[in-house]
Amino acid sequence: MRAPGLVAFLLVLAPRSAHACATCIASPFGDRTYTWPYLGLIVLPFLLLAAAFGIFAHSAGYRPHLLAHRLAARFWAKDDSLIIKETT
Amino acid sequence: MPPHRGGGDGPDRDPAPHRPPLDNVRLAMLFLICSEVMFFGGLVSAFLVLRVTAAVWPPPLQPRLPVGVTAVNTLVLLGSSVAMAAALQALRRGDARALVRRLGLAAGLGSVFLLVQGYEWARLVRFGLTLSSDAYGTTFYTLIGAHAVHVLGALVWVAVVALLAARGRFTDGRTGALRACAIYWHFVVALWPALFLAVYLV
Repeated sequence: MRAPGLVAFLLVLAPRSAHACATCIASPFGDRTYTWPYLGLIVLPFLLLAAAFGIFAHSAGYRPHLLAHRLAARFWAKDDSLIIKETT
Repeated sequence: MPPHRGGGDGPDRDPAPHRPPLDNVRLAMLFLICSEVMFFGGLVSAFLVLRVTAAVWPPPLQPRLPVGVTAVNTLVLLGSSVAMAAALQALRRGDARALVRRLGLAAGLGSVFLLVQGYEWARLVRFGLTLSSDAYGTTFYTLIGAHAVHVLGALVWVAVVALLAARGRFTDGRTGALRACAIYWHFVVALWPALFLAVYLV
């Protein structure tokens, strides 16, 4: 445990070396791989979770347009039809 | 006197039997398919990382993949999914003979897909693309081979279900095995166009 701590301390003292180490993967071919394949793999579990929750919600009877109607009814209260509005 | 369920005062005052929003078959298949998507997601990512890193693709002295034949083969596999959907329709109508016939058609189209894939693989091996030739061959055979193994497994499943249907198994309303099989078959079929796009066309 002492050796990693010592290395970390030295890197803090030498920020240029630390920066170089962090960017060493950015070689002409090294950084080209960190694109869609990696991002897709990172995002995939979240997409699957969203899909699973969507299937659960659909099976439980939730529908997007019903949810939209409920939200609209909650946030936009209807005016009483007997109230005469002044339009001018 | 039958035992009361739910602790009510009597049959007319018992709570309604609990019905889960998603039945066990669909829940189990959902978990299975999520794990399969992660599995194939890892393989596709590995393939695409190599693909993006390579300066030339396919690598020098390696054969090009047969896009035309595989595109037609894709249509064959999609046709098997249509046959499976038609089989489920026959099940809902209670038409046992049509059910068996359409399950057989789905299995037949799946078999054609596998045979054409195997033939293309044999040609690719003759042209020098083997599992150990380079990373191109390794990732190609791993990814497409994993899908082929899945199709083979699903094919065995469909064949067993078709045999059971021929013996009149699913006419009593217990259709869980058939529905699970259909879901899995649709998944395996739906996966293939994504793999075709990633491996053959990109």
